[in-house]
Amino acid sequence: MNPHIIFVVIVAQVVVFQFLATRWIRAMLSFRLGLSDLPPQAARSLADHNRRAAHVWPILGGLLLLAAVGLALLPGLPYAQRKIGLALVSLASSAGLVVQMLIERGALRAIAAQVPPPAVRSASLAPRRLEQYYSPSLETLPTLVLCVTVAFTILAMRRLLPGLPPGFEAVRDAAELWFAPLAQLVFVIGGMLAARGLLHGGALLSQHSRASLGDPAAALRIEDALRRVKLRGLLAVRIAIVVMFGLMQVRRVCAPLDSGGWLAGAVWGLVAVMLGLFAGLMLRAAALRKSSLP
Amino acid sequence: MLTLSIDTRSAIPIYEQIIAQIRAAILAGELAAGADLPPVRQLAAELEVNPNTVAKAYLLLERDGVIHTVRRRGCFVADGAAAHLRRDSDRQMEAALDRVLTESARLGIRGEDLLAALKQRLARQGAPTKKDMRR
Repeated sequence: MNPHIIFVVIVAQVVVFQFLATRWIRAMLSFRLGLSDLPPQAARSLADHNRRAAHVWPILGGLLLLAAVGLALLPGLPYAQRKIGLALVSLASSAGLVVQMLIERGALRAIAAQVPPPAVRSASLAPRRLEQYYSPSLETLPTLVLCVTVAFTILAMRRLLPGLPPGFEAVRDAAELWFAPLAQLVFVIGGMLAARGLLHGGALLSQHSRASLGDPAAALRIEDALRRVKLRGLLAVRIAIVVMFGLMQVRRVCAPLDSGGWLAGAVWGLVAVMLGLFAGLMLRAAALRKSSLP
Repeated sequence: MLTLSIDTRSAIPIYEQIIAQIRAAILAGELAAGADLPPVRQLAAELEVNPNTVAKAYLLLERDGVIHTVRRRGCFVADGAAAHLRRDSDRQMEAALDRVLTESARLGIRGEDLLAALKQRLARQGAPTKKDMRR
């Protein structure tokens, strides 16, 4: 695998996760607060929190970005070490995202607790159905990809596939051949549950945000748009992930010893597509949030 | 958009506000027969009220034959609910008119004066809105 491709993907991940996700997480969690006129104590708490977040997260993101660039460009570093180092940076970036989400959630909940609940509250009486957001038949796509991958794996293990490379014998009996189908299964089931939760779960806009908007119909329109972005995004990301694992499986079977071929490039390309998709969704959700608050 | 709004400052209990608005939505044709209502827990979470409050509203609506519950599937607007509600509204309106006529006769108000006063009041007030129903 060309180290420059890994470099581009890891740096993209760091940039997306640490910089764009910071804004997105804050926007999403602020949906739960969304007040135009906070009580003085809550406003002070929010300002302090904003100040801390404004300094800490860009610094951490910058450090991770520097580490990724350094590892990718450092001369004389063996490929394996470069790869391990970049994977560690990627993991640190993802872990940082989770920690950030927990800290933001705690802080905003504490601030929201200081604000009395609005007297006038609104909700939608309209039922939420999947076909309002996209064709339900699209839900079968991730399952289809999983079935194709399982069939491909079984055929490969029984040596029923034509043109299997000589190197395949080495991995034929290994349990790792089932890693990709298992991972797909996890994402298919998890994605279905997440989509169900988004469709039938609680409100995406807090009553505080609704009260700030004033017009219940406007709040419902924004919530519907937000649910549409999230559901469609979730489906697109699910499909991209299962296709990526499917390609990884094809690569493991058809080119187990070739780490620089077009299949490996396609896997990394899909990772980059997913990151782009994620970034686009984040920006759309953040823009929706911006339009919902006075 | 079919919205439901409650006012916690109102003297009218929340479950009655919910009932009044669902009845109004059915009468206005916004909720057709067979239309499903949001699940109790979902509506309670969205309105930030106790699920028992929403459950009580649904129970009373079901008792009145406005909605019906199907186990594990949810609550649906009953067949003929709009006609039933319209008959109920007509009955209530007639009772209210009887009271007004009795009272105006007692006060010696003539029929044409009563009609003129009613027209004037309607012109000033306009049709009742959801906000009026919450009060």
